[in-house]
Amino acid sequence: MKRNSNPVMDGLLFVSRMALAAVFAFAAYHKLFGEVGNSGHFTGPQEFARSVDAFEVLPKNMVPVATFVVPWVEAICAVLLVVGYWTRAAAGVLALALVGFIGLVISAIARKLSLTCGCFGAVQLFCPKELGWCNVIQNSILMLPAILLVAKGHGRLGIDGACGAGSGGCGSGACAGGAVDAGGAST
Amino acid sequence: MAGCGMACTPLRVLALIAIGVGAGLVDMSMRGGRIILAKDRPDPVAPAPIPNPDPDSLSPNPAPVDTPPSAAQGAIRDIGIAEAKEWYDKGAVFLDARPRRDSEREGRIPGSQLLGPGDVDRNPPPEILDALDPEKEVVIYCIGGDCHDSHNLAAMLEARGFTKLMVLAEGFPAWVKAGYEVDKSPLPPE
Repeated sequence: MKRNSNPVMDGLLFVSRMALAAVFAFAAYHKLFGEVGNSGHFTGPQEFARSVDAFEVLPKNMVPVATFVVPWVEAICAVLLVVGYWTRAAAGVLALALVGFIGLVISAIARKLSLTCGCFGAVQLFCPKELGWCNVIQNSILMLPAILLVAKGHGRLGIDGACGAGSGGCGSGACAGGAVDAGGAST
Repeated sequence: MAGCGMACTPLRVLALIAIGVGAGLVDMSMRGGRIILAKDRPDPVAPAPIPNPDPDSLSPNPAPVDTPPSAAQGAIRDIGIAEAKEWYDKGAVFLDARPRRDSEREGRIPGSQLLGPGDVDRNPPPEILDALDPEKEVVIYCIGGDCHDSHNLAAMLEARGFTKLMVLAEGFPAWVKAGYEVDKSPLPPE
């Protein structure tokens, strides 16, 4: 099956994958680990749990679940984006997460809650410490590469590309030894 | 599987979420016990009765309150800047729950001891903790807002038997805004 190769689009998809993966890997790391406390434990989960709790949308017993599930989902998707495997799905999950984050921030603003953002654990990356419209804009901007990847797929330099639509897929074993940069926009 | 196109994406999305939930639950089962939430934070419409907020009853060594806090109310109470100043003037212990860099850069309430977020991980420095009287009023502050660090520290101290814990809800910025004295001297080395 002949694939159309557009170097500009391939480059854009590759940059989108790496940028999105970098942001979410950074976020996941700081939520799951963060700084080391005096007792040798990581303080990231505690910080993030406080942030989740402060939104007052989850019952207390669900806060620890969200505290660990959210960053693990982010981390897994980041890894998949880096290697270019299940790219659309990984980008789709992150897009859904971003929609959720945007909704939470707007909800907090509407309820006039004064919160600090737990987006990147205790680290403030793009926006001020105080949660606000900057976080909505930040997440909206992050939505762009996620939507692009959902729409266009992996681009070049990804495992999906080595096991494209014409190969029968990685699960079939048909792509054994396939080139990593086989390209293609079908996931 | 990788070549099944857009049609597979919804299933893969669900699969990724399921994998993430599984990994998160395993991690939580190993580390989740260390999460401390301010579950005993009192209802703002029904503040806990102690420590007694009546300024007339404040004393450097307030007598123990007859009625201990109920479990529902807990030992942690959010207070405003005026009450914090009253407790300061009466000699309550003040704990700075901000990161050390914030305390160094912005200064601190004079006499307060630094117990930053890194110390709240269930193992604060014993030289500080052992010097505190669990029966004495303790006022904790950080930067205001939702200010996780002060409530984290309060929850940790409550778990260690402290019964008169107050969190300055508006944080250190309110202290500065009120024009009260700020100690900007260098902190002792770690």
